[in-house]
Amino acid sequence: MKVRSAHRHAEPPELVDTDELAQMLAEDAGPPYVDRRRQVRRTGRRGARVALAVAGVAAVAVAAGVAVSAVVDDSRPTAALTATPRGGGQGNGLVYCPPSVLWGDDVYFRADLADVVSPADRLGSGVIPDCNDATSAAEVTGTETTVFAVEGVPPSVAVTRAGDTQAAYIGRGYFTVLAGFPLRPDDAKPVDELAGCSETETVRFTGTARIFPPQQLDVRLAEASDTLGRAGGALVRNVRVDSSTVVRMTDAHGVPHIRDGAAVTVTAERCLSGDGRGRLVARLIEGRA
Amino acid sequence: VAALDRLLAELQPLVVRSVRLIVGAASPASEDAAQEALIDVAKGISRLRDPTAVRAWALRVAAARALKVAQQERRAVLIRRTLGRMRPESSALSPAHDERRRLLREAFAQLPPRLRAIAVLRLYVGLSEREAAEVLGCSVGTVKSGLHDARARLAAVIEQAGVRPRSAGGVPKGDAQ
Repeated sequence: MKVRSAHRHAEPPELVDTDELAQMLAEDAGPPYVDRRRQVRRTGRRGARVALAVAGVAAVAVAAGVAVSAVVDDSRPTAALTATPRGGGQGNGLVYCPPSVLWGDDVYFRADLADVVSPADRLGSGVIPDCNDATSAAEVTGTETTVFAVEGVPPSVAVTRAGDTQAAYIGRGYFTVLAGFPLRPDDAKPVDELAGCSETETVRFTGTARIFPPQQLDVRLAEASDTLGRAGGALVRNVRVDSSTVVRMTDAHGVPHIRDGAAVTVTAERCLSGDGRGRLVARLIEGRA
Repeated sequence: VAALDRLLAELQPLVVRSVRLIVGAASPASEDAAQEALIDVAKGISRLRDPTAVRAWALRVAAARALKVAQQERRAVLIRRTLGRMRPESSALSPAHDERRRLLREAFAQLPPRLRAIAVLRLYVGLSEREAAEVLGCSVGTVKSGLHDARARLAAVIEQAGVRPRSAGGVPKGDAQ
């Protein structure tokens, strides 16, 4: 007969059931994206770094979701809503939700154009999305609103909505600073992103346009001139578009428009001096076959 | 680029949820940590040489970030508690469905981050002991004893509170290496 040692007779410690623990973990895992409602607001260098990185990750790869899924399907209207750097709007946490309205399959971002917006035909129901970092259109929650066309402008370019008809909501890829933008007032002061920059150099690069967030152009590089100092595959962020930028890409109505995901060739001036040092300002944006 | 984006999108839920659970679902730092882990993954993914190992690599990156944050948080919580400036971390937990689950949740949040990581990788992500060991850079034995230790500690806390642990289950299936 086998005699077991004393310690083997000792009562084994009680253990929590693995199924129960696994179930609790599954319950606590939370949403598949970063929940910005729960994020603590950070200040200083770390906060800025995270915010900037997330914008980049989101635009190229995150929503962060965080938003990573934000850019996976460019056709999703939520894409640009999920992870943009803080800078205003109605958001909380590290990121902001630019005021926007969803109508049909498109997302439109608010631009204050009080003097030029006249509501026209009722287009139908839209949604003012909550700032909740949805990662797909199906997950968007928000408040229903009525969307109107803006007089003289195709609905793909801009719409307005009930309760905020002094504002235009601009379609993605349209830049309000461009002279060719139909809602730009004739007497609007030109925007010069190179103002105060005494020394510049010309750079040229090709790649894929990312319109994210509104009024900002990022380009995923395919090729670049040596002076840019960036290799193919890199993301050039925040290529400024100002009133002197020529966009040789138009929508079906002839309005200058850079489609998100379009292949582009950009000729830009890089500022080498002053406060704007390092800033890239597009001078010519062309489509690329 | 599109393929990379897709890959990242596929990895995101796993990374975010694993980090959140390791740091502590109730911790205010968990979402920041999840976000930073995503950034780590996005930054490093293009340099990954073996695409077949991407999931394990992403988990390794996520776990490293989560452990770093969790350890910082744990230190911060202990300091704050010592100074008496705040109530225990458990007070910030969301209401649980029942007393037992609430206790379990609280006890899990008090576990050392490394034990939490082992539990998350084994029981939530579903890694084998060997895979979890690779992700955490430790031995299979450490993973095995870590999960046992975690379960025993959780049971002890629950028992102390006068709630008897449910019957102890075995280790997860698929463990035979």
